[in-house]
Amino acid sequence: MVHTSRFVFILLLLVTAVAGYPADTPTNRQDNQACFNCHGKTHFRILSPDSSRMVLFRMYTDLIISEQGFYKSNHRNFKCVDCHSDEYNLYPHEGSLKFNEISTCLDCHGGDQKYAKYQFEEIETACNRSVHASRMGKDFNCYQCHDPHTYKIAARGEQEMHLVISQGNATCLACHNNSMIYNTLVEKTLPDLEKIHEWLPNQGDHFSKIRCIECHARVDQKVLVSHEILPKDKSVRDCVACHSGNSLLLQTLYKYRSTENIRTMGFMNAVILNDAYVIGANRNTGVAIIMIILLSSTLLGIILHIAFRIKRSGENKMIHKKTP
Amino acid sequence: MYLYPLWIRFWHLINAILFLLLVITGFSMHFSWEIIRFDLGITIHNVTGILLIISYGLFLFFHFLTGNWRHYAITRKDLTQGIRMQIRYYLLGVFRGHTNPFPATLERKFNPLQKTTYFLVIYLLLPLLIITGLGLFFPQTVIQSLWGVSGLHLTAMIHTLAGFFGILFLMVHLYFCTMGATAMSGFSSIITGYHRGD
Repeated sequence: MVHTSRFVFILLLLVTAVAGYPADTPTNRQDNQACFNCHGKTHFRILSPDSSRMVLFRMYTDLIISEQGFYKSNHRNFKCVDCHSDEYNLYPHEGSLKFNEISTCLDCHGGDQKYAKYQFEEIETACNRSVHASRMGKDFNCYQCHDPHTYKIAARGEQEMHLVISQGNATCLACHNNSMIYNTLVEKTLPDLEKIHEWLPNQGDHFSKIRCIECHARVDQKVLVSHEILPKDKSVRDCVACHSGNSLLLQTLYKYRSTENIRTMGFMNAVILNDAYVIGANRNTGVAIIMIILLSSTLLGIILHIAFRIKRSGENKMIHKKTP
Repeated sequence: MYLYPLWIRFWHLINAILFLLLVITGFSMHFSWEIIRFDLGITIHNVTGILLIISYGLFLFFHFLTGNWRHYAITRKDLTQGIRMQIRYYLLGVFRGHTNPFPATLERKFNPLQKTTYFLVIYLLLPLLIITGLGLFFPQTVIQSLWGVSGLHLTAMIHTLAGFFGILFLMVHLYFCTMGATAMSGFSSIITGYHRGD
């Protein structure tokens, strides 16, 4: 009996591990289900006002929320009506509800010690200085770039670097690689990203191995991910900024890893840049020192050999002079 | 004595120019010295690297076609006695007025030390530089990790080390060229093809 229960327990553990369930399964699935019945799909049916028939409608794209994405996000334990008015529990929704103010990130995260390490206030200040805020004014808010329904923290986690990079870049490319969205915000043609980055050697590698913000945001010592997006003429265009011993990447993309390294090991481990080989930044100091010693001692040997040859040839000349 | 045919002299000149450009751009990028602007350095390094591969391929073709490879064939005697004698000559004999134990002839262009060094450079160092260079040029082809160390890092480290050894060879090679009949005869022989006796 004991064996059977132990077996069942281990089996359950294994199944849970394989299924990859997060430690805390979402708590408000049932409450949210009514919302996802319509907002999780491309089409929905609703009862006509005279209650005579069910009518099929298409869901407006911007109002479709990925149910799977939501339950993997940082806000997965929320009820929809925690942020949206509970009047949305009535169908069809009142048109006037659209004009309700929606909570901002700072409404929950600001001034709370629990979230102090994320420096939300500093992020807001940086955002307000960014080129986006200066161009869009009050219309610009966190949600323009970060969808709170699917937002999942990346840079601070232990997940693989390529996922951090792709998530970071997807945020920028959502507008900067989509002319439909871009043109609703800016009255100019969407620039061809490959063409305007033509000067960048090994463009494909740069696009896949670093985030846009490495060059396009001002390095901010206070926050982990810089949010002050710079205009293009102020963006980094100096290769050596990253390709050097004191690489900028240690203050941007690899900032979390480098600070964690210093915190846990007491020093910065050179392996933190291991995900990609960054010429100039990854050089092995030991190898360079050994080789420079080898090269300089060879040079010294050559100089000494030359000196002895000159001395010898001087002596020979003397002998020839003395010989009649 | 006509030792170096035109194709060898031409290949040697091209190889020297390409190698120098690779060393300068390689150093510039590796140490972030920006002797040449970084992005320009990369382009020059890539282009010269590819040209070096082509030049190496053509060298190998003519090397085996013309029988030039025979001058690079190391014998057991070279390893057991020749190298030691040649080193002894360079370290002591030169200063005592001894003659070169292995003077260049039409049948034996290189002394055992030269032969061994050139053998290692041509059959080991250059292929190592080329293979690792290609690996860095096409990083997706490099294995992700080897014993927990990034494959790309290992490739880069071998490439850098091989480059350093190439520079080491270049320094010694240039110096030994001054040890012919006159200080400049070694240099003129690779330009004209004619070798003056040691």
